[in-house]
Amino acid sequence: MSVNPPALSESPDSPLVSISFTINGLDREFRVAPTRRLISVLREELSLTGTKIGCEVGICGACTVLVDGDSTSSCLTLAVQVDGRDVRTIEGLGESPEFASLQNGFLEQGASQCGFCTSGQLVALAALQRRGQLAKMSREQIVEHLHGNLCRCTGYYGIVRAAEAVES
Amino acid sequence: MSQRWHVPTDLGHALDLLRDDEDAVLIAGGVSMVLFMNVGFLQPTDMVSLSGLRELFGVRRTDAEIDLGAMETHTRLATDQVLRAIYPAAADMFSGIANIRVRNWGTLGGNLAHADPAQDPPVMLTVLGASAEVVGPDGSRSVPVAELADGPLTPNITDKEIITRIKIPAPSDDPLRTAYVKFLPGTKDDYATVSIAAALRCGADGRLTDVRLAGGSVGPTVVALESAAQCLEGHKPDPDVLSSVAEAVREQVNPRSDRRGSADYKREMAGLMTQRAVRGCLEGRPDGIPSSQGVGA
Repeated sequence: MSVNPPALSESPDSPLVSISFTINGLDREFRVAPTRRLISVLREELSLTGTKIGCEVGICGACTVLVDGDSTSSCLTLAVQVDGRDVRTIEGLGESPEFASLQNGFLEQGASQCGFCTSGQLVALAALQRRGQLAKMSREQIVEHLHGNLCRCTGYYGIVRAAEAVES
Repeated sequence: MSQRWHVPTDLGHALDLLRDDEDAVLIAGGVSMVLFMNVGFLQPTDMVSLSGLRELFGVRRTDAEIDLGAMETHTRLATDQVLRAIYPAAADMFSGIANIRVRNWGTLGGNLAHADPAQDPPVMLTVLGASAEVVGPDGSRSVPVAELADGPLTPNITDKEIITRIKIPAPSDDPLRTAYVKFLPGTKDDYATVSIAAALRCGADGRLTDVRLAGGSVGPTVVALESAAQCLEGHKPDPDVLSSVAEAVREQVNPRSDRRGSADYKREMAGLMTQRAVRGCLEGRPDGIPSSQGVGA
């Protein structure tokens, strides 16, 4: 249940803030209320619904996106905080050719059942892959990194196997 | 309800915004703030972001101290090579906070201003003798980190003040041996059930000096475990000495029962984890985990 207030209509007393950021490689501009969350702009203005609202307290990872390559809880980030930055959601990861190996691994290893955590898991792992770190990590390090991405279906085994199978 | 967003690039301007608007609140990484908004505890109207204040960033090393910017994130501090070289237990402590997303955005200053008694940084920074530089309309003052909270979620700073830097004494010779034990019987991304930080020096004769011990999640704020430290001061860490240390810890702490453990359990574990922290200092294990046990033990 979200108590995030909807975007206010513009008035002299409540100016919307102009922000611009790169989303999945495209430069976009928005006018938002200061308290508008990033996840709300992604899902509602941009229709990028791959990013999910889960716990709203930063624990579950369903809302994971990348900001300047760093894993970010989009439910705990205000849209105004990403002004001038580079944002990437699950929908924007496929432009990296190596992402396909991670995606295929998820399919082959049974890393997804209901799918609700899957975007967050893939974004969390892609953060490592895009920095050239994932292929060098041990199982223990992968598990450690994924502590903040909860899955209620799979028991994590398939997710970890898919991550381990990545060679670059 | 008017909402405003400010990103001052000048500290004086930031202080003016706080002074002139009684509704203005500071936002650092935003993790705790947006969480409080999500659960309905907070409805900010005017927010002043600290992200544009360059003087709040950076890690600086002088002969006498390490100076951490209040806006440095937990991830950056966990990976800072200067901090890791001098106080590895502190770098490890930052790397163990919550999860990667919280660490990527949460800041040291924001953490200290939040003042949750279960947080890690105040416990470790207390035993290192760290102090925070707090800047306000009347100038700046230095507050020992151990005194930065008056109670749960009640920082010892006014709503007109900004924590700018955190300074940790770090003489080049004879560095403190340090350990930070974060007891997590549940999940690894949780707050500690109890946590203990230890710092000390060990003489050639095996006697311990300059002993500092502090406990987290065992009171309304960080608990400086002074009587326990006194049990160790000037002594060798023999079994009977370590027993008296654990006893002193159990007597001094005042934990609350919650979903992470009963008060009795936390009290018992505080004593045990203090012993582990001391041994961790002596055996070069900053996380205090005995080598015979695995991760999470």
